Amino acid sequence: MIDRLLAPARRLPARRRTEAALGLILIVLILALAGFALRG
Amino acid sequence: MPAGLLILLYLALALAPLGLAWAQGLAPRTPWDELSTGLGLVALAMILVEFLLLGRIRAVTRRVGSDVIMRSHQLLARAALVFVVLHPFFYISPRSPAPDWDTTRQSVIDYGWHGLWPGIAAWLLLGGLVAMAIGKEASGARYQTWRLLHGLMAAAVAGLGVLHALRAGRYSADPALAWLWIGMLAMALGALAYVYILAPFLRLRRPWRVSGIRHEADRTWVLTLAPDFVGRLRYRAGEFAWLNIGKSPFSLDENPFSIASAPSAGPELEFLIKEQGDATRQTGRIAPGTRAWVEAPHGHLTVAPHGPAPGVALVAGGVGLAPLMGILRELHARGDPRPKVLIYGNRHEGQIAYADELDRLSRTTGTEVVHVLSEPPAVWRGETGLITPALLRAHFNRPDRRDWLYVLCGPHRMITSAEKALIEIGIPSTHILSEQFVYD
Repeated sequence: MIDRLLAPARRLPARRRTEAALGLILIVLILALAGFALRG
Repeated sequence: MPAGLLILLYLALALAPLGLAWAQGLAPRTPWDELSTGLGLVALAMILVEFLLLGRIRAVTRRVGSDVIMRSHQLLARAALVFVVLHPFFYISPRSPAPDWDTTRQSVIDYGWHGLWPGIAAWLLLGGLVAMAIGKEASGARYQTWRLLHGLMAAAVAGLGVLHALRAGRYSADPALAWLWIGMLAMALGALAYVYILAPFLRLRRPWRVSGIRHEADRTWVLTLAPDFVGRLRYRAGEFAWLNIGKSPFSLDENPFSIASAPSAGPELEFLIKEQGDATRQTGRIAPGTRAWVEAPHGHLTVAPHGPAPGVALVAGGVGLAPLMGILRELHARGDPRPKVLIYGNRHEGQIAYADELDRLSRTTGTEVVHVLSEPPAVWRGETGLITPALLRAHFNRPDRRDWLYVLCGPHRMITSAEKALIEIGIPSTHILSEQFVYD
């Protein structure tokens, strides 16, 4: 199961994996910002 | 999973001020006002965390590699810049002093020039800082000058940003968040002070001396350093060092070079240096006995932590052989029985470094050494052309080599194309190691 989930990452070159991880970080930051702005 | 933990740690630090603001329980203003404030809180935290992503803090870089940290530093700075640029523009509440009944400043945006000017100054400086970083290559500025300016401007942005938050921020007026900002600023400036003041000061106790310099190949030199202190550098084959030759340990005039020696060979360090640019043009003139300072080890181009792969393939372009030579020598010194293949590309025969040693390794240990020349002489028995996907497929597209560890070092385009070719023949990217310090 985990192997299947990680399969696309195994086909990404190291540089793209870094950028994918940074993209993930940005998504979390933006979601947190949206939550903060829309609370209440 | 260290990389995953680093991501979580980053998120925890970048979101800590926003979380504390949220936890204060103040009645929110309009969503647009809150978005503006949130952008400012997250952006400032990201800017302060950038100081930990300097590529020189080994506790961080040894887990994922300096190149990954520097790429993260670069891209996250750009994201922070976008947040900072947007930060002032979404405020829609009237800007005026809060009426007496509005003790929590819910109905207005309330700050004076006293709180505004540090924000404007940081806003402008950050734009300049990122533009200067993006235009570094095109500007032609000396690397040392650029580094000094980059550090000073970043420290100014951090200080002004925190001052702005403390003076103008609705949520930062709370003591808990105010102290968090002060703590994060201290962490940021502390990281800078560690890298540029404390670490060089500690290096004073570990001086090195140039013990040899010899011409190895066309415009390529082998430089050896010996420790002038009791002890040695603990490093793994394939790592790199920042070298400062003949300057003060506090000088910014230092450059990264891969270590070509094997750790088990003794305390001396060997570097393969090609003359290419200001920093290396005078390499051949370095006199033995010259004082040197070594900031190391860095990098993650190392075989040891990657488990028991059944074989090791090394792919080098030009002077990119240096770290792979260290790996090959170390594997040989330890009597590693696994099959090894080295693909080594150069333009012409005169550029081949360590030719005799490679020939000896090939004959005595069975290491398969494949020389590739793009301008071969009339009589040449090796491969010709470039290190192309076809050449890599010819050597590695075999079931028994699918689980090998592949280590790549050389020009950016060679690494990119080799990595792509290896992935296409089914090598998992986690079995391919490379470091790339070329970004956009």
